[in-house]
Amino acid sequence: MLNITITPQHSARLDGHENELYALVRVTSSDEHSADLEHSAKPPLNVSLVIDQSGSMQGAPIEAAKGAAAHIVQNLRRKDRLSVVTYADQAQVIIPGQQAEDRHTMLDAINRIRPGGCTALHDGWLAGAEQAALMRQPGETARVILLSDGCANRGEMRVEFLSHDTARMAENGITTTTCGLGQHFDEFLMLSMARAGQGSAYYGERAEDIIEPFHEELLLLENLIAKRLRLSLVPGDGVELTLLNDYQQQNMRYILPDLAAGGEAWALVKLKFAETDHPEHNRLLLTSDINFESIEGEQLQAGPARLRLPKLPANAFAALAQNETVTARRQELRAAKLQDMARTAARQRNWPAVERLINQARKEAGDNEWVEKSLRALERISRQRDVERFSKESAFMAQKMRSRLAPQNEANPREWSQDSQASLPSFLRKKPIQGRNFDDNGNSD
Amino acid sequence: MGQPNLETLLGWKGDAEHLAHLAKEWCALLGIEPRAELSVRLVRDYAQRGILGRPRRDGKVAIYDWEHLVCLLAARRLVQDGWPLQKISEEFTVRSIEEIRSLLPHSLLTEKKWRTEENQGKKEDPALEALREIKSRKPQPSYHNRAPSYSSSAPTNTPSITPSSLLHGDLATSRRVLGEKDDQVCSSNFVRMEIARGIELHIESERLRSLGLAEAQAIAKAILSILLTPTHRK
Repeated sequence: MLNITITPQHSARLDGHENELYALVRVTSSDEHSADLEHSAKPPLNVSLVIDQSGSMQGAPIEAAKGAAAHIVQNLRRKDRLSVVTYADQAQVIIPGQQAEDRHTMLDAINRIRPGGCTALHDGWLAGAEQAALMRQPGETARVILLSDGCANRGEMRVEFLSHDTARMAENGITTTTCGLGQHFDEFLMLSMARAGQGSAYYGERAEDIIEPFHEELLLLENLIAKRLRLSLVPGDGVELTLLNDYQQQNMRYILPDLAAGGEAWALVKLKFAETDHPEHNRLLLTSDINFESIEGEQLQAGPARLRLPKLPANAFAALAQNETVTARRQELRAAKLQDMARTAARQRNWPAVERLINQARKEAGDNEWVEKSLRALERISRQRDVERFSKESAFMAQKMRSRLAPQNEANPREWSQDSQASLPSFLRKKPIQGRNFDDNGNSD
Repeated sequence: MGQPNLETLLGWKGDAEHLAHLAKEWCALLGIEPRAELSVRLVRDYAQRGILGRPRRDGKVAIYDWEHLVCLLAARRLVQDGWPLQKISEEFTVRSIEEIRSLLPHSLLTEKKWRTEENQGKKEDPALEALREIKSRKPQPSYHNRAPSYSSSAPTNTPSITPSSLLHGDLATSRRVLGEKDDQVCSSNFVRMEIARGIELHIESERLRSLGLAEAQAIAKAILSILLTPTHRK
């Protein structure tokens, strides 16, 4: 059902020298019909919405949150299950886990949400996870979608504990997606929880920017074809391997994002090896396989895929073309790293360093239009000397560049246009500004 | 039999034959495929390759313990995943026994147990069990964790003027009196480090995460300077 392939940057190794080679491990669906699976035939979803109703949500934010929740209710199938929890000083289950049958009552309960109080984020998440667990069928994965516009200031607030708890629940089949809103939420906390919780991380700069992430998340969940992807990367003898994405490791396997129809989960590795007197012409450099769970809960494996490359003398090697997709992913990951550094500099109000790092990233991005466009957007934010906005956009963009689902067989990976992206499902789009609606991305400010 | 738990064997000690026998049993319990015969020969081979730590000697007999068992099971798990023995040996020499222990499939066990019990009509979702444990943990008391500045009932779903909205109006006025232009309170998370009783260091958590060596040294020097400046010690 899944395919695993390894695409090297060059189709050979350089004889007689120290080699540094990049290789892209790609996991895609081998089932052409998976994307066309009838909507009604897909297994039911189990979603728990956890909505911040603290005092700071007063006004447009709470109305936007209610709109996002209503969107979910209206788009679920009758067999899907939903619960809604709000949290302020404490958590409150306003829609206990149930099938999405009585939509009128659900919408009514959502409409009655009123803001006020502190931000007991952990309590809210915990209540949401509990509702999801109570409604869960054996072996099924459920998703908690947590929305917050502020920092946790009541109950458990330690990032490491919150992340640990989301990781623990993810291992037990309750994954967590987070959505930050505005300028005052803790992006480090929200990104950490989503990463540990094996879900997605979104944010909206303005109230009107948060419906889109909810829509994207629902579409992603509806189109999932494989979950719990665990990638094994075993270097050949004498080969030093570095993974360039920041995927978490578990049992010596890397945790890749869940795979949705039409998408590709990927990992970029750097392989270093000496090429002196190696006897084998076709040397084994990398072996990789993937363990995963089908959407029906079946434990499966794909691979192993093996990367073997012949050796070439220097003149023949120099004439080899580089693989475009590998180059594009390298540019994305490099830009992500430099954005992280720029974010640190921005937090220290070191704007000259921010500018320098963005310039460097733009230079290294070359002709990668998506990376270039997003860096230009960051540059505009940095000119406004807006620490919070810069910090959030750079953190979410870097995360996206490191772990996005790419479109399967991405054509012209370094080209970008609003039209070409609009034709993709939203969970596969490359938005140049993560905190804004896709339609606003062309004219960002 | 209750849920298999390797930790029940913590004090175990035995010879190579006993280790091979135990490992065979535990491979079956943990769902590890015994692709190669788990024999005394294999135990000795793994010990020689450095995958198992060096056994204690009792005269001519090599004595293995719980850690050897964990390493042997984890190695078999990795072999099943396609790892060559040389790589496993390299990994194990730089990893702690806790890390190696974590390679063994706790979660698969739990899932298997749940599914089996469900088939027998006893539903116990491991997620609910995990939630119970998380709930039983008390949040760490800290200065962040102070009680709210007003007493309020749980949020209600009926429209009302909440205490917080009243306070928000007071806040804007108060901040203007204090010379602030807007009503936006800047909030940050700080890490409080108690160096010793009565001596604390507070650093914004974001800043702490990105703290480099040069900056840490500068902070240390600044603190030293403050402490040694007589005016600051009054």
